Amino acid sequence: MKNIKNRYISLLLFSFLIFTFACDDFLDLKPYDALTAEQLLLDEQGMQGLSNGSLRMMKDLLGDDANNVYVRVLFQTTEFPSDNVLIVKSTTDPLWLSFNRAHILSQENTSYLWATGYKIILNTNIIINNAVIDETTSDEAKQYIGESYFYRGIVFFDLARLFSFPPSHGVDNNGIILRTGLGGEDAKARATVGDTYKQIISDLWKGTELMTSRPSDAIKYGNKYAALGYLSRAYLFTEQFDSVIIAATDVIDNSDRDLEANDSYIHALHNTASSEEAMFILYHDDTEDRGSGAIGSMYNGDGGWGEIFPSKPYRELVSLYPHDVRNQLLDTVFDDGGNIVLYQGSPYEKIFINKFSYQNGISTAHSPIFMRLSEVYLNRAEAYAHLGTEDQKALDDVNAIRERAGLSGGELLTTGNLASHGFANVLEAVLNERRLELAFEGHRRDDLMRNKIDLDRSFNSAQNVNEETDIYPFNGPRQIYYIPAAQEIAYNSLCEQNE
Amino acid sequence: MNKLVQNVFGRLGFIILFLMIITQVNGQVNVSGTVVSALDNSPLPGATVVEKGTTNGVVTDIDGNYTIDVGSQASLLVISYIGYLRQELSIQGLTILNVTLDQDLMNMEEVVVTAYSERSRTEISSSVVSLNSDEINQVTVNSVADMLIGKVAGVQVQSASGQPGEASDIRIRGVGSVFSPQQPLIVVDGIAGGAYNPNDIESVSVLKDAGATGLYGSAAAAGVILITTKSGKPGKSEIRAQIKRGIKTPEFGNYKMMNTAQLYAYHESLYSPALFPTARPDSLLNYDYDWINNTYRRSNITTVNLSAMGGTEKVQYYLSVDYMDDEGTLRSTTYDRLSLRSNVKYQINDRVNITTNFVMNQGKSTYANWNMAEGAYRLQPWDQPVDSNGELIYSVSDAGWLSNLISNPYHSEQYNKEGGYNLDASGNVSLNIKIFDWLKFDSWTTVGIGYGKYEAIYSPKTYEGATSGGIISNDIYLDQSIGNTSLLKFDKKFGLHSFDGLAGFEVGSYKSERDIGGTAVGFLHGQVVMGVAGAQEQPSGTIIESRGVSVLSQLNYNYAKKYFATVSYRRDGNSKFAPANKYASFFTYAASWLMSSEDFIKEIESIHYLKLRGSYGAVGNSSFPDGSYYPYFPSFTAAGIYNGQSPYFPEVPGNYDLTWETSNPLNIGVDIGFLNRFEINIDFYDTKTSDLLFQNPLPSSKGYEFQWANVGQIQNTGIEMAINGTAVKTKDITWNFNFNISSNQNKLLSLSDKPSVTEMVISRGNPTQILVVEGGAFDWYMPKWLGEDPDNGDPLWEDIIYDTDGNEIDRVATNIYTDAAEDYQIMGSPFPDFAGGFGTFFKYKGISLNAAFSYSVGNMIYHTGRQTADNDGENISVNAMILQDGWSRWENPGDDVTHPEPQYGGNLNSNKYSSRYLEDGSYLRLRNLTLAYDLPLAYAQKIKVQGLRLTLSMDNLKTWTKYSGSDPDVPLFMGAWHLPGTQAFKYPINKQFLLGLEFSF
Repeated sequence: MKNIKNRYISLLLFSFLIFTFACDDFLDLKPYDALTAEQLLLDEQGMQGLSNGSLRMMKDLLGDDANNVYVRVLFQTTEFPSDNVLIVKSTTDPLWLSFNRAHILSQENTSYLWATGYKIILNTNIIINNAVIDETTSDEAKQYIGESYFYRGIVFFDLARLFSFPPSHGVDNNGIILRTGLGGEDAKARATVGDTYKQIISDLWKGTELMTSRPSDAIKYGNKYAALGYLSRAYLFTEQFDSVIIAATDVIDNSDRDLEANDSYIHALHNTASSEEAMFILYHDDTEDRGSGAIGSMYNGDGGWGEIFPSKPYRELVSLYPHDVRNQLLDTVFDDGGNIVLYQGSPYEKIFINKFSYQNGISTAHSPIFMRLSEVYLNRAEAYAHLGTEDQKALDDVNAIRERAGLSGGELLTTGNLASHGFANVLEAVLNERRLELAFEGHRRDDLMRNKIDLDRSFNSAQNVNEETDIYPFNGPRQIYYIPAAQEIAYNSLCEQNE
Repeated sequence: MNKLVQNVFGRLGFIILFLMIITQVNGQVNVSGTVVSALDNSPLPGATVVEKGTTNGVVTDIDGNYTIDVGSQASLLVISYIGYLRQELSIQGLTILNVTLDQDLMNMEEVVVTAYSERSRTEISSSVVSLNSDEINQVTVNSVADMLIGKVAGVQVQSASGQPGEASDIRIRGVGSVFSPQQPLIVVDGIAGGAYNPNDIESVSVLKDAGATGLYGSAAAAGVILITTKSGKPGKSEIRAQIKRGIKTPEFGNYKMMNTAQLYAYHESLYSPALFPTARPDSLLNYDYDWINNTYRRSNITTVNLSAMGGTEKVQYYLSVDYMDDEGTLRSTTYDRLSLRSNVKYQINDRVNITTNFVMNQGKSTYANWNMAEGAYRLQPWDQPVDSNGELIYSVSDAGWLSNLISNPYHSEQYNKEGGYNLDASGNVSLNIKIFDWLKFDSWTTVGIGYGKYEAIYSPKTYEGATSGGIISNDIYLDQSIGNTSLLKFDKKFGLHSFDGLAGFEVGSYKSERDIGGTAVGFLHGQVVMGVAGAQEQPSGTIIESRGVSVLSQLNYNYAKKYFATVSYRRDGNSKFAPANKYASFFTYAASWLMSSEDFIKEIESIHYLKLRGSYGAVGNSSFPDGSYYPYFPSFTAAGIYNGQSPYFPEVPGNYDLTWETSNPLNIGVDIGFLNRFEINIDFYDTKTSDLLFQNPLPSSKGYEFQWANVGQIQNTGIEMAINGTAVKTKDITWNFNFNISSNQNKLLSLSDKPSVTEMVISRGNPTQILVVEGGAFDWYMPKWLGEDPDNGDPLWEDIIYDTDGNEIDRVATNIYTDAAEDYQIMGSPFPDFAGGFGTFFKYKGISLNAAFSYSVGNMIYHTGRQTADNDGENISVNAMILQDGWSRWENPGDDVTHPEPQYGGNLNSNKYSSRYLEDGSYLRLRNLTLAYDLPLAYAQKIKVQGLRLTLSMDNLKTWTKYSGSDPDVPLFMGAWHLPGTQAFKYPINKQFLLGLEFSF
């Protein structure tokens, strides 16, 4: 009996021993699906991964709502307050708040864009602040560092466009929060508009210097000429018109980009990756078809919701010349009797916009263009128009776009025939062409605000069912969105809210 | 069976008697008599008869007879028998003393399962509620949570949707954590998180306070539920077969949608007379399709359970096979489950035994097409699922549907497939060695595996699959867990001082490979595996792993079985925390005083049991939401792809200081038994949880929404009362009742490491709640609805006017939503003021009736679905709900009603987020009604069975509520998608009617 007891006791001791030995390292586990910054910044491959992360955050949803994608929110919140589009009915999607300007303090879509924008900025800051550039730095590494400057610059620019007024309204206005370091206090005040644009321009310049390799597929990533294109836009905002012209001319003369030909114009807008004039696109392969959450889905009922149509004034404008290729971006839906179909018991004619559809024929697949050569031409045209001394050069740039659209002869503009086309001055002609060419791409609201022109939306749309006169002042407070109250202001005591 | 008992006890009795006689000194008076039961005057063999204050005692023989020599005529005899009330009698010169014992209806000596041990109820110092299978097994459900609905004070169960096979959510004593909500730890036969089948449950213990849960340390903050499965007893074996079959019908509650005539009339009031005839031609009146009743259905449920139990002195066994075929009331939803269990105990010799428990569950579910459940509520009755040829419509826009649903769920249903499959198995082998009579060694080793697969196949023939040429997604998980617990247990008495306790260690690891699979596209209809698809679209798969080591110990002391004290200590090490914080210690203390053993209480005839209890200690919570297994670790992750290359982005900011969330529950309770019929348990608790595992918010310009940190403190205080009673207990009639009620108040004590942050707003879509320091955690936060303006039918909200210094100067009604939206206000709590359940059991001879109710009072529900279904014309592409009794719409100036004037396109944002849709969620539910008939034994034996029982059980028979949604029973914890007290849409729960037949051989 005694023996047996001894045996039990030694068994016990034995198991306690196992226990004590097993404890070392036993609790030390590392994640299976994550890496540290140190691991990623070790080599070019890791830096490439981080740099691509910025694009991925623009492209994919990070949250749980499939509609919350940076690029979708960006294109919608910039375009829908404009006079190019109408919506057939209100929707629970907060995109509706861009139409009726009933912004709320913590609006889901703009809050998402703000948060994701700063997540991208954090990502770029990790590369920018950790990278050392010296003679040992490879060109490839420089490219990724440059891309990060570029992505930071364009995201600051996007945020500045949505949440602050353009510099032409006053450089001392509130801009955005410039987070450029690592860590830092939670509370940080907004920079002035002037400083915001200085940062944007500085980041873009830094990008042009560093981005020299990524030879293939350059337009799918940050690249030198895309940065110059953005600079031509940024200087337009800061009213540094000479600089616009320098940057734009550099692109037009020196990049490998050309205006897309008339006969491939529509195809190139659908298949942006192979477009001659695309300078920077957010590439989505065909499987990255966003379905009903695609930007094109709201515009195109073929495969999507099809609830946002061109406004009456835009239709009148583009149909002025039926042979203008840009008419082909509108698909009017007819019934068997040849009549235009009305949207479900509404007064709105079904006219789909296909500008964001049909990549490789797939209705809701698309790779949105962030920067293309046509805009650079028109940026330069606007700069010339503002200088007032180069009117014909401004019109030449406009005519380059008009010719490509299929217009010719008297349909092209000269200083002499401006009045007969109904334009009071060159700037009007430029803005008219920008509206036509860059329609639905989110420029119209900026063009008017920047040039201090009130917005006329006296046309039929769900936010104006009685087609009442609706003029919104260029400096009206709801031209811009509220800083997300619950996400930013609640935890950042120094951040001031917009009026 | 009776004979066997008599034999065993008889023999035992003689042995003890013999021993007693040997030790007896100088008998002076001889007393003899018979001990019988008051219930039916049957003799009680094996009852003990002891001379009070001595060790002199005897045991009754097989006929209940005893004879004893006692010291004097003044001696008192104490007669006791398990399950009967103890009696003390004075001899007073008698030599024959026959005794009639009353049954102990409250069964205070019952042994209940507690943390790592068992003990009798009188010895427990903490808040433990034990229920045996008879008390909880009337319902036909899939989880222990559903069995506990309304049964235990302080335990709240929110029933899952009607999807068969889905488990409900269970909470004990409120929400103790904000961002790491935890369900109670469920321990099955000593295995944390073990698999089980409800039909195999022998008993369930709910451990509510620190005194009870302390031994589980860092996992115990949300309480512990111990499940003990059945085991065989030496003696006659029994085979039991149970078959239940029944029907289920969906329970739509108050949420009803319009038919064509109603919707047509409603739309007529919205549109201008000019537009109406074209927008809603009267030809629509020719159609009236009842989407809801065609989408939901009456369905069948069948369960079959076969079990065998029994054994010899050496081997005892319980084996069972259980099958359930549960068809959902939503089209295409089904669930079936097959479970096997084997519990065997081997007595190797008189000191060593080995117990093995093996269980295996296989379950299979199918789900409805993604837009079916809610689509039925959104689709308008004039839209038809079939075209004029009777073919199911493919393109809803070509078909001219006016409803805003992108595809026809019935068309997609034909070809799409969504379902799940799981296989869980666990086994443990337990070695129990009696080293000395006072010292035992218990060690059990557990292996568990879980395999499951979710698959969705969108056929290329359907809207969902067409654009991609078919979509197939797989999500497979494989969980493995292993663990060992080894304990030394001792039990030693020194006179009236008794000590017992345990000490040992526990080690475990858990590894889960999850989300294995992904999405692939491009295949022909009929194919169901990913390998045949043309392209892999999104591969997925990850591993999470955690490990823990612990030492645990407990010391119990009692003096004379009157004063009890317990100290427990556990030290846990956990891989989830930073190296410096991997270990933490948890102490808990409990004490109680069995006052009814004191003479001054014994004098009070009506009170037969009285116990005061108190406990205090620390328990922890180390849970993070899924996937956040390394929150201390700053890291980057990759997901998706960019142009064929891998993109990395910052995921977790990391916090090397992160440690456990600690709860300090104080519990004071009293148990009172009186008149041998009633028992009342009252508990008061006050639980402070500190170092909350908190998603400490960052301004989003920092690039992260939050960082896990230990900040904030929350307090839950509450009172619970349970009453159990036996109103009548005779040979033929039994009538019991039970009632429980609990009230919990939560309060946020602090919120952030920044003292300036005194409130935090949390939104999930529209619904928003606020956490305010010194206020309730999770209060509703929204614009205040003031009704409609009788003058013009406009909606009205409250606009708070502030002066330039930010002081409130006035409150006015406004019809401009955005003005009110700047003035969110606290509008009540999603948690009930009080909740609980009650029930009764009545039995006359073989016929019995059991009724169980559950209730909740004072909780506010945000009815998200009503924002769409009751929208005053804002969205005319969905069906509208029928107004509840007492609701009406504004029509003419002066109408002082509930609803604004409906207008095409909406009336001034009247359906935007506001307290308009915040409703009282109080309810009373008849959870179960069971009628049973037991065939008398004599008849049963004629047909060669041991027992035969017929039952009719009815679940969720009736709900009384004013809530306008389909079910007021909504989740009360915060998830990634919802806040406590919201239910956007719920697959309705079911009424069930089941007929059961049970044989035993």
